[in-house]
Amino acid sequence: MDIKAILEKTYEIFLELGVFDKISLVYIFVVRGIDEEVKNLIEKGEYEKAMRKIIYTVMMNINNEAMYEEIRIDTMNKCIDLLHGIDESKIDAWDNLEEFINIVYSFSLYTLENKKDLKTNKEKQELINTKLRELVNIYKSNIAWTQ
Amino acid sequence: MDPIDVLEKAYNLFLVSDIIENESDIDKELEGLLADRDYDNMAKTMIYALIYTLNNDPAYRNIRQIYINEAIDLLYIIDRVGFDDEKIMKKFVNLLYQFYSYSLQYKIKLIADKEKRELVKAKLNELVDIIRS
Repeated sequence: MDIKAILEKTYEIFLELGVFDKISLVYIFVVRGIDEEVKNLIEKGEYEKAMRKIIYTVMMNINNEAMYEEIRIDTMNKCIDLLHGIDESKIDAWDNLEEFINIVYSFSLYTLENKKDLKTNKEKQELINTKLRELVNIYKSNIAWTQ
Repeated sequence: MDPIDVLEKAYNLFLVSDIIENESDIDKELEGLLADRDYDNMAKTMIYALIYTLNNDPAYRNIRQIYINEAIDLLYIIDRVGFDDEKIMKKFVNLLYQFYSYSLQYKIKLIADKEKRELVKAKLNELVDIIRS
């Protein structure tokens, strides 16, 4: 299973969606952009940490942005279950990876359809749609690989 | 500050108040983590339960946003340096204190049951005493 490809694609999608910008963690120790951190962690091969930070990003967005109210309860519950799942077993456990892609995909699609500056930017919409299709393709090839 | 002391008192509070929602056997899980001295995972598991409750229970509507932010922040910091750090333990106790103080005022289960209410207050004080001392 290509965890790196999944995380890289997610990182690219989140950058285009602009969802990293909304993060305002009150870091006690280091104040730095979470996007940079995710990028560095993927490069260093620290996939579990990268994955956790992406999940925190989703949680922060749905908790703080009113546009996510409709999906907040369900998505937040899924994120907590996934964090718990990652703590209990390896991140490359197929169930965890599948749920991760599931959360990223539906959160991204919802953002794409509801965020004002994205709704009016056709070029960006196409770019993000392409990347989402690429994520789905990675997922499909991983299913083929596990069977 | 002893992390086991903090977690044990937090766990007692968790048990007597019975207001944290969960679908699974979280009590047993926490008991196991406490026995294993697995500080980080125990703290994280309690924070997940807290977020779950804040997210799902309408009684916490007014404080949901701010406390979930604090909880995520705390998870992030535990990932980074671990639970066994004075600043982090204080932040953890503080979050629980705010959550339970609010619950004592707004959670019907605690308002209606005087005995339970007193028990929660007592356990909450024991927890907060750790960071006061």
